[in-house]
Amino acid sequence: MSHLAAPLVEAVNLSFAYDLDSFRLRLPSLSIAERETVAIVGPSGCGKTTLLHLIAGILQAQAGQLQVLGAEVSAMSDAQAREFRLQNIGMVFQSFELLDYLSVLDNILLPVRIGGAVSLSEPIRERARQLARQMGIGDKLARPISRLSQGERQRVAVARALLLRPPLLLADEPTGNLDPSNKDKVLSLLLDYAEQEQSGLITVTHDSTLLDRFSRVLDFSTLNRAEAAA
Amino acid sequence: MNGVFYLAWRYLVWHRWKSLTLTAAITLVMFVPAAIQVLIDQTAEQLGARAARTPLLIGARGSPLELTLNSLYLQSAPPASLPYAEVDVIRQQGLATPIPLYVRFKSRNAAIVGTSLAYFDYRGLGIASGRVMAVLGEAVIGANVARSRNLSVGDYVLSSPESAFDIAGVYPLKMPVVGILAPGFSADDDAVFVDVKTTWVIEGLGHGHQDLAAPEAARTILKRDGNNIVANASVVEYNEITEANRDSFHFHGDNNRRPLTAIIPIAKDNKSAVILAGRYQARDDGVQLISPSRVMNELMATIFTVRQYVVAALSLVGVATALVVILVFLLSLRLRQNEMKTLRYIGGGRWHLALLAGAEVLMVVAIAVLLAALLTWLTERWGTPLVQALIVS
Repeated sequence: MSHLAAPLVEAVNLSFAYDLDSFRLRLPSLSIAERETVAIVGPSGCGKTTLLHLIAGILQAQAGQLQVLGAEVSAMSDAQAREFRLQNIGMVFQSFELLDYLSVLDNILLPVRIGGAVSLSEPIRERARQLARQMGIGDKLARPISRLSQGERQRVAVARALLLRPPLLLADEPTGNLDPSNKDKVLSLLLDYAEQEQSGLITVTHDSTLLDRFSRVLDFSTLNRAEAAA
Repeated sequence: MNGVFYLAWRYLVWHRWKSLTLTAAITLVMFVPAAIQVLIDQTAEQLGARAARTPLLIGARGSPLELTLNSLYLQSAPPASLPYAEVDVIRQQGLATPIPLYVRFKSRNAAIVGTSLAYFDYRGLGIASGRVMAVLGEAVIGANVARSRNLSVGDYVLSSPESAFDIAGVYPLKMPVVGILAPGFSADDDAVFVDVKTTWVIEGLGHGHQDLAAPEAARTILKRDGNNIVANASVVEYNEITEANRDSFHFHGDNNRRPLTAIIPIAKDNKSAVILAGRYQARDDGVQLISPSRVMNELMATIFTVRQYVVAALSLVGVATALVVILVFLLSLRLRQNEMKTLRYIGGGRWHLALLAGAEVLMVVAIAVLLAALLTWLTERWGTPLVQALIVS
């Protein structure tokens, strides 16, 4: 991707508030270099997930600049942000966010099916199958999600995030619902991918035992000036 | 776009019982009014066509509808009878050729039609196998009767007693099948045809029994009075007319007073038909001449009126069902907020999400429309005999 020459994330005087919430996010400065693997820690409600959503273009900052992979995300329309997200960002959620009514393969292919920006070609299908094999769920492609273990489900969610080879991975507490063995597996998958594909990885986590595996750890409670002031 | 439809389809398949219930509800809402429309139109057309082919009908005074249904569609309770002498009256007038009808008895569910051979020509009925009845006691059966009972020429049909308790009345008469009609796709396919005299035998107005003059009948004789012999109940009565006993069959009383349920007068021309109608209008002796077309038009007008009410009521049910379906989808969308949020996070636009929800509704409605169309087509093909039976019986 051409974006890789630019810093992963560059935020200046970023400010955000929800309409009906007292929560405020004020970020004077944040810079994450390319290929960095960053863990964001901090108490619940300090704005970690909000920052991920701002980076992904799901939320729009009210003030300030936010550049992601060289693109000004804070100035994008909803459609542009969606397109940007689809092509550049892979997202992994704590509660997996898989669709019960789809098989493992269909869940992995979901960004292509729902996005419409990339056509569902045979190479894409093969990529999904290959990812499933790498995640150790290659023999369960046709299985419904409800028949998978928690660890297997999170691996499906990771495969889905990696399908379109995004240059940036955003993971919101990806190991929060997993046992220690699966925690390790899932984190390894994300870090291995970041290393192999030279991608950035920003992970929100509460698990201090995992922090030493990241190249950088940010304590968001000190970064968010609004929360710090409060 | 294809991806959205695929996702919608997977959702419907996964929640198959909900999808099936919604589909069935919408299907029924569309199918029932359409089926009513189709069935009534077809029934009106078919009943009307047979009535149109029978411009005039003579019977005893009473319900014209009952007379028409019994004589044309071989259904309904038998109307009051008129004497056979009426056949001779029409013949003597020279205005029409009379076809007698006596439709009172049944062989299981099939009406036994006592008539003359002219009936077959008049209705354009062809013989598929065998021949027409030639002597007393022979039967020609309709195509449906032959098929449903697996009967062929040489088999027998039995008349059914009118009542299980009618011990002294109508005896079952065993009648050989001498011919099977080609399908005419009318009420004739479901009937058994015999000579009108055979129906009188079924009724007990004619009978055959052992020869009372023979020596072996001596113990049955109670009284001799000239040519009249009175015998007791041990006399053997025949319940089948065979070559050997046919000559023993005889009728008591005046032939002209024996009953018919109707007479179809085939007028020589329009003028004769008008004169005949005028003569019957002027008569006041318990006999009427009716126009079956007019009777059926009145019946269909009543049915059409009822149909309008039914369709209006069903339309309201349809609106209510549509509202319930919309409510179900809206509630379903509320329950799926998390799913929609996820789809948005991973790249789905608002348009895609709206399309996804719309595609689900569209698919359910499309399947329902196809099913309703299929059911309506099946009704168009197979439903008319059923509704005729419902309306006419």
